[in-house]
Amino acid sequence: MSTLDGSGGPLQGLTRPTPAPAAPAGQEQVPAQAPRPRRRRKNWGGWLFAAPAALMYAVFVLRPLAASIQYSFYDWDGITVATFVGLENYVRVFTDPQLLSSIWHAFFLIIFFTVVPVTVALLVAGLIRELRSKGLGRLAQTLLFIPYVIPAAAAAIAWSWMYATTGAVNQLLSVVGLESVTRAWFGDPAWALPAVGLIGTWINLGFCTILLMSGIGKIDVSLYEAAKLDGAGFFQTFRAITLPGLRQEIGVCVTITVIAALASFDIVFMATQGGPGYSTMVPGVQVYRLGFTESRIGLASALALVLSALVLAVILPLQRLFREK
Amino acid sequence: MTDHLVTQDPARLARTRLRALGAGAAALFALAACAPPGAGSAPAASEAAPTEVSTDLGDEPVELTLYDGAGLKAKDEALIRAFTERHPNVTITGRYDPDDVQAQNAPRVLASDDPPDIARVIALSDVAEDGLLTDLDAYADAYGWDELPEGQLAQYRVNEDGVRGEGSQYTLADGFTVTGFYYNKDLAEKVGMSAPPRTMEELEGLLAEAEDAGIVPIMAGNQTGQVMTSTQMMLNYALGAESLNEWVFHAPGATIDTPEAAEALARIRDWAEAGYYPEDTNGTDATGALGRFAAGEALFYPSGNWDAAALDEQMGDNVGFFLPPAPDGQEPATMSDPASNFAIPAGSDAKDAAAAFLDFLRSEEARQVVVDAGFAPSGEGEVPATEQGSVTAQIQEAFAQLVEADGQVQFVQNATNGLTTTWNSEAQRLVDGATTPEDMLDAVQTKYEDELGR
Amino acid sequence: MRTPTSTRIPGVALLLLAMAFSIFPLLSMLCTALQPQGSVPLGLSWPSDPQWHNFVDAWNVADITTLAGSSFLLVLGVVPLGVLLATMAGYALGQLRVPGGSVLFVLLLLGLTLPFEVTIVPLYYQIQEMGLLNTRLGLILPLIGLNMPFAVFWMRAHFLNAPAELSEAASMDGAGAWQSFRAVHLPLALPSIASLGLLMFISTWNQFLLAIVLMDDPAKRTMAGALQNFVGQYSTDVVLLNAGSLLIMAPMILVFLFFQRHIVKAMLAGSVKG
Repeated sequence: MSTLDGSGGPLQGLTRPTPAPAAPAGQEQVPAQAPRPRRRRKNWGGWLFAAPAALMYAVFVLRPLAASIQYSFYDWDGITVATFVGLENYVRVFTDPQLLSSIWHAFFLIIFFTVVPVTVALLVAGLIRELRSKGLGRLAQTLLFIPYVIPAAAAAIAWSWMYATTGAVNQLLSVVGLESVTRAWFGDPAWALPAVGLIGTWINLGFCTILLMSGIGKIDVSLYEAAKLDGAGFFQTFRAITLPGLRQEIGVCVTITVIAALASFDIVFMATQGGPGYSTMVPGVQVYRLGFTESRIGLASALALVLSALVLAVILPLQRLFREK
Repeated sequence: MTDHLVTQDPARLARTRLRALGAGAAALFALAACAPPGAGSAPAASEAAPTEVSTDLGDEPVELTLYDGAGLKAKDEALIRAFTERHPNVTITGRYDPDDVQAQNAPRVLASDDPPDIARVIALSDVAEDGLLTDLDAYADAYGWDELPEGQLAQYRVNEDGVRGEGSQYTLADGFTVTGFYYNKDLAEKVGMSAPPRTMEELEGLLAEAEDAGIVPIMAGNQTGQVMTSTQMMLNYALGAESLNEWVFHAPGATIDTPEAAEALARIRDWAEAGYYPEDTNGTDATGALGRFAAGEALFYPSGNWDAAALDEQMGDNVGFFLPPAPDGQEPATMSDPASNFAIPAGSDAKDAAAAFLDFLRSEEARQVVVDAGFAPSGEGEVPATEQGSVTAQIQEAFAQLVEADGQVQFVQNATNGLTTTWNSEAQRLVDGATTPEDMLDAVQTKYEDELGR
Repeated sequence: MRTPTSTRIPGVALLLLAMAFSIFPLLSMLCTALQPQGSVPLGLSWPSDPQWHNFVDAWNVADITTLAGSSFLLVLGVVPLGVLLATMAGYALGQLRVPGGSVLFVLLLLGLTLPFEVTIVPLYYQIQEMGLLNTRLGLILPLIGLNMPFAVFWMRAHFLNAPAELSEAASMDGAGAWQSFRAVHLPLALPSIASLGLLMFISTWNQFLLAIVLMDDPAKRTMAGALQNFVGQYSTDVVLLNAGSLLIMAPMILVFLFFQRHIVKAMLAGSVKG
């Protein structure tokens, strides 16, 4: 679902219905002994249960994906008959400075979508645990989470107004005597991309905080008690107990937010349309432009596939990194 | 989701991955054997060039659909009302998308199984070349459309190679946009401007005066590319209306990457450096700029007739309009293109009625409707009535002057589908100082040739 | 044991800062939305005379009634069917352990990491071929398909942990797979199904790209998709724009406030079991 849009993503860390963090390995495995024949017969019939979902998925995700692969080898305007061009579209993706820079921007956004929110969320979650204030924790949870559930496109509108010349950001800066740095943030090529990135921070911070808070709740309290008795301070406890205990939740946070950064569309599309100049162009918006405005379906498909490959190339190693020992 | 990723048993996952890979490879193989995309979709040629045409609508009920941008809805609905009063047996249903969405969806809508009967088309070359539009030559003969001014007719023609300005007629416009400089009369008085500037020197003098007086000389919302308005006004005079139109119409070998064009762009860059545009122009959109001009922040606001109604309402007598002042020895020229350049899709099943609607656009009644909506009228005849002295009246006068001088220039952003983005992004960079006039023109020309496959 | 003040003060400060950061843009919108229409207010200044009727005007201007109805129809089309299909598939993968289920599982994994942009262009042409462009059905079907990876995962996780003895017992009674699914497993899965339904509701409601691509008519789009049109038309009036955008966000915020209790419950249940 994180792949569907920037918000309302998977919250299984929060509402993981029943499974404890790590289901015993045995449960994940098909029973080792040979299954009884009666069971097997029933198994094949079981596909009747899986078929409708598999069909919907095949028709509306896998088929377009396959078509995307096909299109990427053609030059097609969406209307007339396409011409086969081999790898030309891919060569373009890797040589066209504009397309390359959009990919680079997507990676830059990871700082704001992932690194900053996860770091701050870790601190906040750790501190909330220390405070043991139920009320404050609950309030924080509510406020922090709202940005994650509103449509990302709406978040972009809220922030466009924040960043405007007469907007709240400049107002705040003036109040603290920083009038010299006020500007139209989306109009400044040096600042537009970080400004867009901060919207991502805003959206992801609450989600990560809550996920990590629930993770901390699952860490054995006696570990913390023992650390206290040893006289460990906040940061020592944090390093020795909290971080390792949250390995898995951090993994989930990082994975989801990295995908959101690399595949960002809604925010940029609504906030800056890729401007000023090309300074906030990201592959998602570029694919939309190539595919629907310029009707260069082949190039759009090639770019989208390269983006997908990059996402996998980033995500798979991360999975290894966060897999529980 | 991902915690399941995290807790997968690696060995088992690897095996499954291999299996999935195998399946994927097989699927790819199957793909390679497919027909190319888009095969078997072109409409028959007979649909695209009818020979049996009739100008008689009869009295059988006819249902038409019209497809246009949402910004033009009020005008279109008024036209539809006027037309269906004359022809009660015809019903026309309007379908509207946001203007930019309409522009980009038009080719696909025209190619769909159930196209509208009347549709605004901006990017005319490709769709005409692809046989998606009705060749209107037979109707032009029947209705006598050759009486229209040649400068207007050129905007309706496309030849077999997709070059516009010549060849068969495919469209007819209901009216035209007009661009020029809006000015704030109070502020004009402050900088000693008693009448609109007549030369480029006068104009630049006023810009400097305004800047000295602490008034923003030129309002522009360049987040949506509004600096392009003043930029193209300079280009029009640097290259001439005809050669710019040829460029937009894809004439063979046309280029915009010339020293004269670079000079025009350099002027804009100098204006930006001199602080003639608002400091935050790249962070302001067109609607924001309009609001700020109306609020009295700037002396000039280069824009089009589409802003006239709002400015009239908000500024009343305090707003004026003039065409960009021409350099010595030149006739005035400015951007002015069809409001709705209506075509009849090849797949329409009520072409006679649709053509009758197109012909109606030349009538006095339709011209008055279009003028009331703030556009300049199609065809020729009496200038329709406007409120004396209003900014709308000034715009109509300017348009009459423009047609007289044959100075209607197409918007350079409309040359190809992808160029709007390129021009606007490059204009943002020009204002920032991130690019030079030469590099900007090179980027635009490269994109242009790339899109045309040259 | 008391937490030492040395961590307490920075802790509370940081927490308050994070909370302020989260709520600040929304406050800024609210302040602006209450200013007189047509004015050009500053980003954050509480209006001397709050114009609450701006929301009424924005409601009418943005035609929220139609939009909400349209979003609701989409949700009604997507969520019940999507949840049902996912529950059945989760049952097949998690409880019945169908042979070859792991292949489907890995394909779904792929779907979870796939950037949405990769399917959007071909999907447009596919829906066009099906003749479903600009129809609600043409938006509902792909949304169900796109929701499948996550939804099946979710339900699979539930059924992996449902005791297998239940199925065994049911089949001893001679109940078929469908019956044991309906009578035994479905009732037990209700909490998971409810959570999934909520999540699917949010993601459908917030869907933007698919809505703007497959649906030309803004009145038939999702709430989020309608924003694009709304901004295009009303960006002159900052006040109305903010009021309208807040209205478009409001349903989601309200749902979340209810949804939150649900989260807490689920977490407590999880921790008891954990």
